Amino acid sequence: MRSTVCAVVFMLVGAGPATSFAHHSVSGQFDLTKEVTLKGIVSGVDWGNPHIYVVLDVPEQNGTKITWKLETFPPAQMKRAGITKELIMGKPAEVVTATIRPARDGSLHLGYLERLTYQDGHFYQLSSNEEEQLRRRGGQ
Amino acid sequence: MRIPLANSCVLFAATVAACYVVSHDVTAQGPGASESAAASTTTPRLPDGRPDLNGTWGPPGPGRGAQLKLPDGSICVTNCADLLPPAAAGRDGGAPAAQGRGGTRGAPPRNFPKYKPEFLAKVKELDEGQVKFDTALKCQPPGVPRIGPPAKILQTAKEAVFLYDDLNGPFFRVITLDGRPHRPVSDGRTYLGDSIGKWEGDTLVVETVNFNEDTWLIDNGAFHTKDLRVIERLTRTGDKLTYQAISYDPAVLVEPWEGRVRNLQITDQQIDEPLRCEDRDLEHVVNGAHHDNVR
Repeated sequence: MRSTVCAVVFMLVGAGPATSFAHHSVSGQFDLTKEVTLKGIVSGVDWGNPHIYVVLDVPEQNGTKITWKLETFPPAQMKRAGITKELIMGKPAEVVTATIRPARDGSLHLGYLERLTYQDGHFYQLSSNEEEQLRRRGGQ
Repeated sequence: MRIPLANSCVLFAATVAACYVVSHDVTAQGPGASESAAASTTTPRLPDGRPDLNGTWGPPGPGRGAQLKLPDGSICVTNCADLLPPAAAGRDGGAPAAQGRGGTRGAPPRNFPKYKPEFLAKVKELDEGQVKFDTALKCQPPGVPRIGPPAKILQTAKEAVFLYDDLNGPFFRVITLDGRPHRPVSDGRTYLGDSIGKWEGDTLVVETVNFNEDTWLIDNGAFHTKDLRVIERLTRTGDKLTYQAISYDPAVLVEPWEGRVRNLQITDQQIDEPLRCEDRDLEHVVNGAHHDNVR
């Protein structure tokens, strides 16, 4: 019985095709030393290579909204993780919390998606491996 | 507002660690463990007696893209290594963050081709300008050996077809096994070259030539000439496949460049046609930085 419970709680996905993931550097485009938290509604997901973009509409106090484009993994990596476009979209009009890294070139409303947390508390942690490497080096 | 990540991680780690121990013990004591091990050492063969390489091949264990799943539906895809018990994090092909690929500009990958001194400046220039010069970053075919081992192999006595569901697109290579020579160069040079294969014992040896010069051997400016010759070796043992590519380009390399050995295992997962590749990022990259290519 215990093993059944744990199989649900802790699961490492088995082998999949040897798809390649590498592309440009995340740290070359996004500032991994800065973190921004946004609250908004996922209005779209551009599910394409080499990187998926999550479109997040963030409401402003004046009633308008700002649309952020948040880069994340390639589709193959998302698929291996079991994360679908529908899961990212969440429930209709659901306000989600996005932790992102802003663009380094000053582009407004462009970021790298690190974590997406939904109203019931569940989340998708999608941070860059480079971030981990930088953190282990003490940042740079 | 910041997410209280530290608290949730502590709970997450404790839960994962506790359950890993229990599930590990149950698995180790399972009655079918020895039978499975015996079955996986039998190498299937085709009617001609050659090892059967047919199938979809992926990294052993969780590999890249491994993740942790929680009962509430949460999924941690990367940077989860700190949440794993040491035994799990250290397994072959473990959590991505534990792989330590290195790989920013100025920190060449550990296994980098050795160029003749007169070409080091060119490598440096290409390295520093990879975002500008590397066609693989612009959704072009990555070439051989950079494309890595095939995701799927279709094999008959006369040919083997390598299929790739690459991030840059769907690619294929037909490797003839009937003893014919390479096509003439006049047929054209291509990204993935012209391949012929032969068997050396139970190892499939693939020789590829007739490349164009638009691709690199690997990241960091590792260019090659049109005379590049790549030898790939694939050996199946049970459900495992080892793959290694060696690149010969004596005009620019001091010695043949041996790519790292890739250990793969057969999987029942199917490959899909990759989705459209359209780069929208390079214009935003501010310093040309890039990371190593794991291909």
